[in-house]
Amino acid sequence: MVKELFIKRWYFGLAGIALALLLWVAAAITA
Amino acid sequence: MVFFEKAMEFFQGCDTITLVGVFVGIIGLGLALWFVLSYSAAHHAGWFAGLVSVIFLLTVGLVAVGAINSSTVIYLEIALVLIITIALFSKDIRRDLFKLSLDGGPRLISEHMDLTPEELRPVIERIVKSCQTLSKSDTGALIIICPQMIADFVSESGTYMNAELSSELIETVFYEGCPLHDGAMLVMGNKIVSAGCYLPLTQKLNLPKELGTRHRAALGITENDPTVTAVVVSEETGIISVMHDGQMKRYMDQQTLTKALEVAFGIAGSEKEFWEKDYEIE
Repeated sequence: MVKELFIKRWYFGLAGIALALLLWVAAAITA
Repeated sequence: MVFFEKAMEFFQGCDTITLVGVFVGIIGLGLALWFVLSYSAAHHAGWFAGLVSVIFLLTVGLVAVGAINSSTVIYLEIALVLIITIALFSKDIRRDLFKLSLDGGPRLISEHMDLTPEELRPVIERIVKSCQTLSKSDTGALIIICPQMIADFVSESGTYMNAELSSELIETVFYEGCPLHDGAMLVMGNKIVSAGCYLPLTQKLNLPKELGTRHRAALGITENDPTVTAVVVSEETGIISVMHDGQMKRYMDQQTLTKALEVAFGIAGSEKEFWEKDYEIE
């Protein structure tokens, strides 16, 4: 089930990390 | 290159604990977004995944231009998105957690009352025989085979029977004059636990028109509890259908129904092998 739901959709994990990184970068720039 | 200078300044200026905090924060938020996005995409709610992505991209933009400079706003936003996800998909999450717990761990009641395949085969024969008789007389029937205890709200909605299963008893219960005929019969091992039970209806919209409430109820319970198998005899056509985990097989004859019940009682073949050959009603 974990495989079907999440591992098969690895690109969402990548997108999530990318968004989180982007958020931190944005915060670091304005800090 | 302002960003790199700022980033270098940040890394030089902070200690290990802050760095670990940043790392854990990024991974944590990444995992949370992974959960939200894939969960909504897997449960036909791509619009929600899109909405969350847009909200977070907007937040990144607002932080970059300096409109948001408080981390509390971001924490609140993440918490809100997680809460909305859990609220939206509470039914699916409960079901998936239940399914996950089936893979291991102790069970309160043993499967099929610890009966051997030799003891279960006559039970299957009796169910098949009664379904065929009911089908010939176009009498509607709904039998739920439960390997373990079913949710209380289902078992307690009917009349408790705890009777030895026999084809005559099944036919009597579903006889149209019987007060219990208009509900589900729960079968555990060789016992009819209760009859006349109410089941949750499936919310699927694209079911064939000829399937009535009885079929909707049977599909609904298999969606809610992936361990059970439902056998339905149509009142209009006499067609026998079997359902399991939101899937349905129709036009069952003696041979296929016996096979389906053997799989349901766990005495021959695997559920995956039997059910994956068929279509799923989306």
